[in-house]
Amino acid sequence: MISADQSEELAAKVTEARDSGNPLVIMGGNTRAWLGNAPEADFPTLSVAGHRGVIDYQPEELVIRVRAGTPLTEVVSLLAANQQYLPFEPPAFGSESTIGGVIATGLSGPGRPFRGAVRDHVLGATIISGAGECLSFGGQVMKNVAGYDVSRLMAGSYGVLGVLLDVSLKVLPVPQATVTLAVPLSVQAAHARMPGLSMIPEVSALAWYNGQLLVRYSGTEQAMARIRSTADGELAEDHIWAQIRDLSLPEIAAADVLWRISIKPSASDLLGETCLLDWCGGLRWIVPAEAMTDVRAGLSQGEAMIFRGSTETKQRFGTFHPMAPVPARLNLALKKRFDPAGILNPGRLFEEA
Amino acid sequence: MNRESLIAALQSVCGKVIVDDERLRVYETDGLMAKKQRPGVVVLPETIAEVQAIMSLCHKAGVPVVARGAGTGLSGGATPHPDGIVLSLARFNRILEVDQQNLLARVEPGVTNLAISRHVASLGLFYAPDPSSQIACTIGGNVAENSGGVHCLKYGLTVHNVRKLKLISPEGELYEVGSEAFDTAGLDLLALMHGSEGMLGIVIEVTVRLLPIPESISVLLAAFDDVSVAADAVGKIIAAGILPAGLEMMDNPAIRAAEAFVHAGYPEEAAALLICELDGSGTELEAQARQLDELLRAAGAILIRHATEAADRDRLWQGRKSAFPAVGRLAPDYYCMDGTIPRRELASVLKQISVLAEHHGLGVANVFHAGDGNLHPLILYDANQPGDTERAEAFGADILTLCIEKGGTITGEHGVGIEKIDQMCVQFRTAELAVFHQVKSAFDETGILNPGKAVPTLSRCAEFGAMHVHRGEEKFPHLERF
Repeated sequence: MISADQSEELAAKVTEARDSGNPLVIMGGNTRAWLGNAPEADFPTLSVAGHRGVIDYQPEELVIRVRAGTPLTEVVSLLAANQQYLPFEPPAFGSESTIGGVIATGLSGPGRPFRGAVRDHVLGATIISGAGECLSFGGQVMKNVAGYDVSRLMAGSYGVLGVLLDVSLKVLPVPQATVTLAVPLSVQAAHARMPGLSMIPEVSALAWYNGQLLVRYSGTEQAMARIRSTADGELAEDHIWAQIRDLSLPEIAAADVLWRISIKPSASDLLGETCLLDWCGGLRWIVPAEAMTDVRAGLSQGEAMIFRGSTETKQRFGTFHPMAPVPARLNLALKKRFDPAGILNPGRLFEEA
Repeated sequence: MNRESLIAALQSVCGKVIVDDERLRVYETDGLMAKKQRPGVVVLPETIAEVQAIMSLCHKAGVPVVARGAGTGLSGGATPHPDGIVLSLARFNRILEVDQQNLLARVEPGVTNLAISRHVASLGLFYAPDPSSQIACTIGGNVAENSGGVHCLKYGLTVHNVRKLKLISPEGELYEVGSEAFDTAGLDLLALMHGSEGMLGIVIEVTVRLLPIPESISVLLAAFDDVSVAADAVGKIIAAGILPAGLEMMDNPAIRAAEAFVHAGYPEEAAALLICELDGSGTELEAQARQLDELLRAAGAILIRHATEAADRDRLWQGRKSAFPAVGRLAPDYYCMDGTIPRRELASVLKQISVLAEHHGLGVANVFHAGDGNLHPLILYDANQPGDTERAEAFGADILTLCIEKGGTITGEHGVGIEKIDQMCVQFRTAELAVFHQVKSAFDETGILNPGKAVPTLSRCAEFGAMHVHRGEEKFPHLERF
């Protein structure tokens, strides 16, 4: 396992960019550059990939502190060797995906409704602000209310506030056993069953794909034996959850344009058009028949993001769902304070004009 | 604006304005009794429009606004500002909607924590965070402090259990962060609001996540003849892959005080007690309780008790839950600390706290949320003895410094407020404190929201205050403190 501390070199580069006013595009393993808004121009890359390695991991603390450039696979295997895992089940978009990218994009996997999101597991973070300063927030403990919770703010911030140097994450013991059951159902029928199923304490994921309701149960061996003999459905491969998490299911992986709908789980919007339904119904993946379809226009509530699409599609409809005026103003105000020179991933998450 | 014209302006936009000395006195402290400050005016709005008008007025006039729920906070977050108003959200006390389909409840900020769980109990649901003051503290205050409780090892803090907030900006605008969905576009302002101690916005509605009530609960009490052995047992439980709903620890002075106070049947000779609560489905829970029993014996427990029936469980918990008032009987005054440390440091920190106690010449009893390393050392002293208060404060400051040295934090769940503002200078460097001020200014450019709290000024750290609990003078003597 490679370990290297490049925080000083990285801070020097940010300081240089701040002084020259030339923006930087922050990059880890280059597996998520297609997410969010494309850079406004051909800005130079700030590679964080070399700043890597586990700083501290003691399994009985349920916390791992790791540098941003550390490959996700390395962290996942280290945790697995200690029967632990990242409860937010982040997607990997290739073996080069780094922890920094995981935090910056803030994407959580199928367990999210039950075990929480990326931000729920961030306990602390060290960042380089746009002013070039190394700053440390939060810590390695579960409970900490000293100061504003800047470290959680890093999750899903797309690098617009700071360059993530390292992060402390809460981890959990891997459940003793897991069972996946599939029930052949239409998307509407599966959706109708989800609220009832979500009341079962062992349920740890609820999705629908390709005519099947998929239910994941996790818990003790004894509980899983009981569920196998009593719960509705055919036994299915647990591997399906990795495919759902990594968006590697055939129809989704092949789509040129992919919309991500985050919505109140019980809402019925666009159910018929949904290719993959996850998060108890709260996450809907839609592959439009025509690339230039405004999927957002078909929503009565919730939010739509162009997850994958050409720059043209993104520019036409807007990559992210538009924010209401006050939150939009507050986003911008935070950006200006963390990065007054506007040099860190400008425009990646929202327009900064 | 002078006080008379401010009162007149407030009266024109809000139906209930308190100006007389007698009734203002009610608001002069929160749970941090040592700091008293009579507010100039208290407003008790009843509608969102009234709150908006009050904020807009105060923003234009530059009048500080301190939001207040039940005033049970322990760090002075709701201590009034000498030149400001107190904005009480007590009248916003309705549960607006329970959404069984999505397991959400939409409530007003003045609803008490426990009222939510009580309201949804018949549906087989509950709201998980359970700060000890839950019978009185409000959900708005829980958001402001990011409150925990005894079950956060498994169920998380307030931030993990709130899906959406409706807020009013200092300018008086109504807006939302978060949603009924699991995430929203843009920066995670919802997370940032938690624990912001009323300095970024006024919470006017909270949508909380509800959970199914566990089928059964099992409580184990384990006694140890050595504090270090007990502390190490905590690590072994976690290492075995067991995630208890609650995992609490008490040292010998706390055990003896609790036993003398409520006769919970604790072994008084024990050096330390662990109280471990498991929840889940019936048969699996039994198996897990057996596993835990074996583990605790192997880890050196000298006595184990096990309870599954509600009355028996309550009895095992009772000593722990009454530990604060019980310790309050040991000395005229006690000072409650709230540091958090990595679990592995438990034994060494306890040892050093006892060394510090000797150095300062004061007694100390320790009760804490061992599962998440959150310590509540209770420093015993007598405020009537010259120099005792100063020694207690110095002892407390040493404990907090020790927590920081061990990689922990000065406050796990009580907040900074005015109480620990001095220690913020120990935990954070100038650069980070400057960022906190910047965050504040992004939300509240003119700085009217709860000024002077939570983040010390860069020029100098404010003078250190303390949670002073004088015997018979507790603000909320009927509340459990744990």
